[in-house]
Amino acid sequence: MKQRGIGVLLILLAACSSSSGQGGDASGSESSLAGTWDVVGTRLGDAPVSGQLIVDADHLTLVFGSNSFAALRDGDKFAVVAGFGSTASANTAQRKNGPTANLGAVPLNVSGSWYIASGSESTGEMCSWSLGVDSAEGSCLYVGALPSWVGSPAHATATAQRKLTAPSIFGDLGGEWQVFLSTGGTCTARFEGGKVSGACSGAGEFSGSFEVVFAGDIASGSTDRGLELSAKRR
Amino acid sequence: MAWSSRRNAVEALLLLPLVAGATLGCRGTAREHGPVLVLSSSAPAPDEALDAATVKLALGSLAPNALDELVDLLDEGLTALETKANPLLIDVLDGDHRDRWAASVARFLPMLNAAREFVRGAWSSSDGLSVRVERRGDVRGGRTIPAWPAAGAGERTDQRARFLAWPVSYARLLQAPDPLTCERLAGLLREQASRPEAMTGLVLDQASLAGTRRFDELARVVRDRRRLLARAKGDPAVAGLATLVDPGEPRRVAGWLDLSPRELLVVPRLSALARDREFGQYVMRVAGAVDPRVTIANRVPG
Repeated sequence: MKQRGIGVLLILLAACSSSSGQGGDASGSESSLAGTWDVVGTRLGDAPVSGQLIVDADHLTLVFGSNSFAALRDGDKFAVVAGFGSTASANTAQRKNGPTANLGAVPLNVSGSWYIASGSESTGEMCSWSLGVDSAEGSCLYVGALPSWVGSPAHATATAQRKLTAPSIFGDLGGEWQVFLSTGGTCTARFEGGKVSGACSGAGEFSGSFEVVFAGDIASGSTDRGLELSAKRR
Repeated sequence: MAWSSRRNAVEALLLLPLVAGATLGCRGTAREHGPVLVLSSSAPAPDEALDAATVKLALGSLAPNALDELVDLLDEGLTALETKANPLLIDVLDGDHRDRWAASVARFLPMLNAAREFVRGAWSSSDGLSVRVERRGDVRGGRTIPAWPAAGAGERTDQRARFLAWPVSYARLLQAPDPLTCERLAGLLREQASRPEAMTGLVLDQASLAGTRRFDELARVVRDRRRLLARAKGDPAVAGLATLVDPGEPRRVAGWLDLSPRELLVVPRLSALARDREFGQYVMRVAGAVDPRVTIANRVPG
C-alpha cells in the first residue's frame, strides 16, 4: 500500500470527481463533480507533489508527477492513454451495453458492460468489467506494461456485491460493497454521503484502508499508512 | 564622546529589531492582518530535502507518549537490523514490530508532510501558478492577497492560491488569555493530534518556530546507531529522523510569522482539508474545554 495507496486515492478521485459546488458538508447532494481540479498528494519519503485532474461527461485527464492518464469519449468508445514515467500504453475501452446505473455526482458514467482492447490489435481483448446497481465484476486476461507499483491484474478477477444501501452523492453506488479477489483477498467499500472508504485484507500490497471525503469544491483523504491527498476545484 | 555616540548608535541599531519585534507583537501584525500570499507565474519552488528543523517541527507536534513510542520502536527496529547483520545473534523481533512501527509512522507521516510544506513556504500548481508566503510589508513584486481573508473567499485564483498554500491558509491562529493556558491547550491538542483519526497536522508555538525544542532521547538513538540508520533510510520516517544525527544549531523557521507566548498555530493535515469546518469546530471545542476565553484570531478561506 505504498505508492498503490495513493494510486487508489487518485483513481477514486478521478473516478468520483464531481461534487456539489457549495463547499462544506458532505450530505449526499448529487451536483456533478465535473471541472478542473488542483491535486496535491504526498509520497512516502519524498516531498508532496501537485497535479491536475480534468473531468466531465466526455473526458478525464489526470496528470500527477510523472504519471498521466487520459480518456476521451467517442460515442460508446473511450480512447485511453496512460503514462507511468517512461512506460506508456494506448488502449480502447468499448461499451457493450448500458449505462445501467445512476452514478450521481460522477460525471463519467462507466456503468454497464465494457471491455478494453489494446491499441495493438494483435494482443486482442485485455480486460472487461461490468457495473450494475447491485453488482460489479472485472477481469483481465492480458495487461500491457505497467509500473511495478500498480501490480499486474493479468489473469485475475474481482467480483463485488452491494450488501447494504445508503444515501450517497454517488447515486446507486451508495452503501456497502463486498469485493472478492481471485487472488484470495477481500475488500469492503462504503459510499455514504460524500464519503468513500474501504479496506482490504489478504490482498498483498493492497491490504490496508483508505478514506476520501468529497465536500463541495474540495476533496481529501488518506490511507492507513499515512499517505494523503487533497484536491480543489478551480 | 564620539566613541560613546558611535556605541549608542550601534546599540540603537542592535535594539532596532527587538523594538520592531515588540512593536509587531503589540500591534499583532500577524494577528490583525496576518501573512500574505504572493502570486506569480515564476518557476516552481524546488523541493527541499528534509532538514532537522522541519523534522523537529513535526516531532514537537506529537504527544510525549507518541514520541516515546516512536523512539522505542526505532530503537527496537535498529536493534533488529543489527541482529540480522550478525548471524550469531537471534532475531527476536517479528512482524509484530513491523506492524507497530507502520502504525506509529502512519501517525507521524502526516505531521512530517505538514511540517515539510509549512517550512517550505512556497508552492506551485502543475500549470505554473506559484505562491509563496511572506510577512506583510516584506513583499517585493507579484500580486499579493491576505493568507487569511478578512471576508469572503475571493476570486477563483485567490482560492487556488490559498489551497496550494494550505499549511498557512487553513491553519487556525489561537489566542489564549495567558501563556500557561496556551501551554495547557498545546498539550491537549498534541495529545489528540497523535491519534490515528486526528485532523491536526501541527501544533506550533513560539518555541516550535524558534527551533529550540530538544529531542535528546531520539537524538541519542540516531547518533548511536548512525551506521544502521544509513541502511534503513529507505523507510520514509527513518529518512526524516536521520536528520537528527547532526541537527546543527537551532534554526528559526517561518520567518513570516511571529507567535507570542499566548498564541498557537494549529495546522490541519492535508487529508483533512475537505473537513475544514469540522476541523475548526474541533479546535474550538478543545480550546473551549481548556478555557472559554481562547479565541481563533484568523479567518480561513472556508
